[in-house]
Amino acid sequence: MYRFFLLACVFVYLVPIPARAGAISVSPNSGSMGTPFILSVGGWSRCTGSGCVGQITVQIGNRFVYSQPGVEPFSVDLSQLDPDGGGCASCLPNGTHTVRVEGFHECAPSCQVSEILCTTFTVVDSSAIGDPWDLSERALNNTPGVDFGKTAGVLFRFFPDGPAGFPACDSVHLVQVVRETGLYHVSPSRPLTAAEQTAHSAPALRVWADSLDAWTTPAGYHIDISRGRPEVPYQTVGRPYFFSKPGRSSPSDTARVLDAPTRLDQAYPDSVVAILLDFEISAFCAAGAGRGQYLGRAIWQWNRTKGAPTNAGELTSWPPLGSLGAPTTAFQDAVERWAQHKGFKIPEVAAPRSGGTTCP
Amino acid sequence: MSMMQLRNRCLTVGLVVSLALAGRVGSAETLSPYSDFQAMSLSELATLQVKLTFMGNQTAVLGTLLLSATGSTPDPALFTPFRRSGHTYVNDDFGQQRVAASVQELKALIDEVGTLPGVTDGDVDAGGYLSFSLLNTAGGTTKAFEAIVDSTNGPALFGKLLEALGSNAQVARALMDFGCAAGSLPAASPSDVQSQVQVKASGLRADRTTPGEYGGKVRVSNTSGTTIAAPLFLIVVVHADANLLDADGRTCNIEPPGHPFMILRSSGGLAPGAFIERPLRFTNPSKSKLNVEFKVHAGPGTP
Repeated sequence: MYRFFLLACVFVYLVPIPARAGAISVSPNSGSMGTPFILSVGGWSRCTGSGCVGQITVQIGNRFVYSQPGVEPFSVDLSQLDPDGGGCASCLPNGTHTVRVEGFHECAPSCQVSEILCTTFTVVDSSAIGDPWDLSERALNNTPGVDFGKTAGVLFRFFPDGPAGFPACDSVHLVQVVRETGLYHVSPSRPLTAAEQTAHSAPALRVWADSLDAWTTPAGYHIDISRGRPEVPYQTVGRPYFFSKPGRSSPSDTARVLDAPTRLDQAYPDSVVAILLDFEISAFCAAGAGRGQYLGRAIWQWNRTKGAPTNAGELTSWPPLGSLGAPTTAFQDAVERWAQHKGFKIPEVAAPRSGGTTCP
Repeated sequence: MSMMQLRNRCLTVGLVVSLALAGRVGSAETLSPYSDFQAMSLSELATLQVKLTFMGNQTAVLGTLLLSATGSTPDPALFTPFRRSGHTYVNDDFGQQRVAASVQELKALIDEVGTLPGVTDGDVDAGGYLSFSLLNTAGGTTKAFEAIVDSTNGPALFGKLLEALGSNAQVARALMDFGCAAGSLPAASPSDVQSQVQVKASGLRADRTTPGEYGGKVRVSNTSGTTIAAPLFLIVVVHADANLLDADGRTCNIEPPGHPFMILRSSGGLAPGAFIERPLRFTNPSKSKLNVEFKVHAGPGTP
């Protein structure tokens, strides 16, 4: 008996065997053409030994759309994949699509495992999803009885409560980035630093401006958060954002932010005649099944001319362009730069523990 | 005069009249001197409203702070006719954080601020970015005062407001939060006494009885040979979106800003070898690993 046990132990340690079965999921599993469909892959079978190599490939239908060396967990937005280089990143046609994930892993001396899993997701007409963005313009009411025809700002409300199109989320937050540009009468426009706009401000605000500039990417974007608030990237946390969590709808939390940019005349450096602010705001799921996923994006623009009759500006275009789309690279770079400076770990998509079936 | 000339003249006259009318409509109601408010009795202060509005550069709203007497119902719309042209009150329109104080505290506020001529002059400082307004309807007449202060008078104003209202925890917290976001708090901060203390947290774990909350306790011991003078602040640096419940405020002058702090001792001091133990409760909506650091500061100043 003892000998048999010893032999079994030797077998266990000498013969490489797969660790455990993999899992895949697509979240959400139903959405429209603009929806980011996040494929998560995890727990893939692997060998033990030396000189290991592996690869995971992803097919949608019969098209190879993605491959990754190794069998580590990963997530990828299926709507952004462009295997043919045709610029058709999110033009998956309506209907149910099968995702086939195949991975292999092999190690010396003689271990090779492979595993194939399939799952499906459905693209439906955008009318079935609905618009999660409820945006309203807030008119300027600076002086009683006088309508300046100007805009004070925008009320952003994000309600991911359509019958499909969004993952369940326990904590939806809004994250915003901004690029600040100075316009001249003749000269070309140029990016403005926060420091030069706050040169005449209170010392504490000048210190804060230095932080904003340190967080600014080469493309000119920085995260838009206020001084004196928790060290999180979310606009929906902290004192200035009253009523930012109006409640939960099914299947997700909701969020709202009131935004009203202001620039005083003294913020205009040298001969800058107007300040233009380009904003990108995204809804982000920080907790729950959809953790780490962006749920929608809106782009908007504000400007004010120096010496304008009021201290408020106006929206260059209305309404802001709200969509289900993933954030731009400029947005992601700005958030990542801030996170690196602050040591903040942005919640990531969790590797699935289950999901996927044997492929037909 | 041709028909065309007549039409042009009519247009010109019409435009001039329109601009003149617009100018009249755009002017504010007459403001009252600060001394009118200093002369008000305690019973009259029962209808006083105090408003702080940020008017500086911003890319997001910094909601207005509205203070009124306990038991009264503030009406921020009453301030509207007194708005000064050419200044933005957009933050008023996006909602107000409302806090209450006793009439005695309001009287103390008026007396303390009354020592600041840069505020009581009721003018608009060059580069002014913070509106401090008083309004009272006592006796059936609406009186209003407003000063728009700059980066010199702003912190001085907040220093006086905190002196007058510091013992009212809710109001003090609101003033600190607003003043910090507006860059208007006095700049001096309590000293770092981290090297004189030992901070030990224990039992930090998820609360099974209250989902989403974490509990534990912290002990701060004076390991130095001298008494650490109060007030003594424990700063709880929380990461991700965790938040300390029952905090006394958030840091502004102490780095990193925006983190909750507790006042461990507000008077006296912490003797050598002595310790203070406090329960801690956190919310942690994202359910990520609770990552907390502690800092201890002490002495006068604004954390």
